[in-house]
Amino acid sequence: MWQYVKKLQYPINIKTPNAAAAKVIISQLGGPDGELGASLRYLCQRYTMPDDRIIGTLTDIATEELAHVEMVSSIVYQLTRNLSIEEIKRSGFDTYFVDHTAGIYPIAASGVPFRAEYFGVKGDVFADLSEDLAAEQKARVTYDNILRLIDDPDICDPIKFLREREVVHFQRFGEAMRLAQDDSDCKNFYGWNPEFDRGCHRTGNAK
Amino acid sequence: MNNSCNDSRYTLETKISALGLCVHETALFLNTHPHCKEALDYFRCKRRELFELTEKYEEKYGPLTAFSDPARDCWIWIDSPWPWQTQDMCACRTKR
Repeated sequence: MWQYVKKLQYPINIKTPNAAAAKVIISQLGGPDGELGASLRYLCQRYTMPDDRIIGTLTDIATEELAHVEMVSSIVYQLTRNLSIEEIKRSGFDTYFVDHTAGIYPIAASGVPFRAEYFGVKGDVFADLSEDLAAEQKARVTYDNILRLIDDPDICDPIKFLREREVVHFQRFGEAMRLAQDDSDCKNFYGWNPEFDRGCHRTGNAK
Repeated sequence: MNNSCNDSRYTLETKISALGLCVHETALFLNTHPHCKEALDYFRCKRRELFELTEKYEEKYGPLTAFSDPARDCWIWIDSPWPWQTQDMCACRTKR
């Protein structure tokens, strides 16, 4: 189970609203490589994982991603405060505004609402960790692209923090992948699926 | 809650869940009744019980959260069974 902590993982204090920036940053909430998809991907994958170190990694990173959902939502919220109708029209935020006003709704920058297809659960440790490694890199690229489009330091500072976390998670998932491979039959990694095939052992910390 | 020292892991876990629900329910009630003195007293009482029992549990069976002190010289957060694992699944875990 989970408990809410009434603070952000990293502070967000944006002084100047900017609806055009909100329109692209919201992709990291509900877009194909966003934080919502990341959290749900890892939470769903962990049940059948064959190794406690990997289950722990998925659980704790998924939990951190929930904190990132709150951070991205807070950025979008602060960027869309006190907007005039003129600003909404000028910034291109009108296409979002018409359906959601200034509410926070998970959507890609392209306008596609959040879809479960954004995350994969194959039920195979190698397939799923490969997905997770790619997901962290894709999220990192999205943050890089956001940083290309925006120059307000109040926005860039927390975005840079989120980008760094993608790099750290990629590192940890890489280690998880190595652990899974080390525990597999070294002659044939992919000859069996330790999450499904019978007779396969669950592994703990030590070999 | 007096003889909880002798409780089995499952009993202790059930008591913690029950107390957690009490505290959570009371918090939900207090959100919409923030001036109810009776509810606030009940919240404080159950909260204290919850923390005492959680401390007891973690000393005996290991961390309930990743932020808990492992109270050993090694990292044991990942060692205890995951909540969705049944008894038979725990049996085939390789112990260090």
